[in-house]
Amino acid sequence: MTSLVRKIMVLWVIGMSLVILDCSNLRGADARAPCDVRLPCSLKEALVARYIGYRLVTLNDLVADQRSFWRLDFPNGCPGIAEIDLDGNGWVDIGLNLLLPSRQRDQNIFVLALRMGAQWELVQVTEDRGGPVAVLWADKSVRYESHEGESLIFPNGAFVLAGYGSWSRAYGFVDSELRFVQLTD
Amino acid sequence: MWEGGFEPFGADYANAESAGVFLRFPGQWVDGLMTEGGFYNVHRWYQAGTGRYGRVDPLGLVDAALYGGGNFEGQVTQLFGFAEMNPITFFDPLGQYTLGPTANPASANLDKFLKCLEKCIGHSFQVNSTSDGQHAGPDHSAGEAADIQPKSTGVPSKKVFCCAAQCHAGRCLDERFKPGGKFSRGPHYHVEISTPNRAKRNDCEPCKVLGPGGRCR
Repeated sequence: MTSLVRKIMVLWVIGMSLVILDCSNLRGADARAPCDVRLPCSLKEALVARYIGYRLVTLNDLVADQRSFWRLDFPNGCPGIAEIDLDGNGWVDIGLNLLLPSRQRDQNIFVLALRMGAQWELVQVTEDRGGPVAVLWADKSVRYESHEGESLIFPNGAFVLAGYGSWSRAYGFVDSELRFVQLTD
Repeated sequence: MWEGGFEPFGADYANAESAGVFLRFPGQWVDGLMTEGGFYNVHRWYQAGTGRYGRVDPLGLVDAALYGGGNFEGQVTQLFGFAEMNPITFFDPLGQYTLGPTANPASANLDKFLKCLEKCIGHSFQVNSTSDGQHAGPDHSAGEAADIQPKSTGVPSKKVFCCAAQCHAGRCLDERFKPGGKFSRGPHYHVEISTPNRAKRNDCEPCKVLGPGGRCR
């Protein structure tokens, strides 16, 4: 075997290892920092193709007060990503709180990645409207009460998106329809 | 072409004024003909070299006392301070209430209301959000509502809402202690100046007990 072929094989092995490490599932990320997650390959490819330049919101994107609030409730959580089987189909769905850094004003959007087997359906749930940088978590409560006192039941739990000191919303499925409750406004 | 910049508290290190650059921090401008040796900020003059105003906050000592934490020196310096002494994060367009780092400036009517509210309460507050963010009600998007955060947890909600009513608020909500604290982290009040068929819950209280000068106690 020539040295050139040997070099090519070594590079190929290294390359494949990186791909595998980069595209494992979320549960493999326990030992790393909260926002150092590895998305499934198919989801990552879909995200990169559709949301160019976006990245997960991290603790560094929050101001000091907001970081304190987050750490109080989710010491090991990342405000940019959460998991729950939102539609109740037996597959864990992923909520992605994404940020597009900009010199003028960062763009902050919430994208829902609904899983059906190996397939991911991406739904952009919110558009950027400024205001406090949002944080995201999965919530297993079933009943949610709006700021107007009306209640709604999400049988499979919800993703909660919140702009600290201002607004918060819970997103969940009622039958097969995605709905939200404005918790604070 | 002029190339330059400003230090964190606004000091000009590249002779911007001679290059025709008169704007400073939001709400401030500099003019050699109209100066007290600082930047004009409607209610006060700001001195970038020290990061302080030349006059005290028109809201008076109450606010400074809250910030000083009982330390007299702290009280005095905060009376002259700019934007929580943190100009990288906060804005102070008129030398009074501060805008949160990503909050849109208040509309003219809302600004008038917020100044009235701040004057009545006697404490300054931070406006976390106005027409920005993921709000459901039409009041925010119309620029007629704000989420405010008093700079002291010692300000009773009764006083805030009494003052809001006196300043002709249409509706108030106490969003500090909603059950399930995670949803309402960052204690704040929602205040708005109109009520388009949404008066189901309204915490604004008519002033029944008036202090000196007809203010809410």
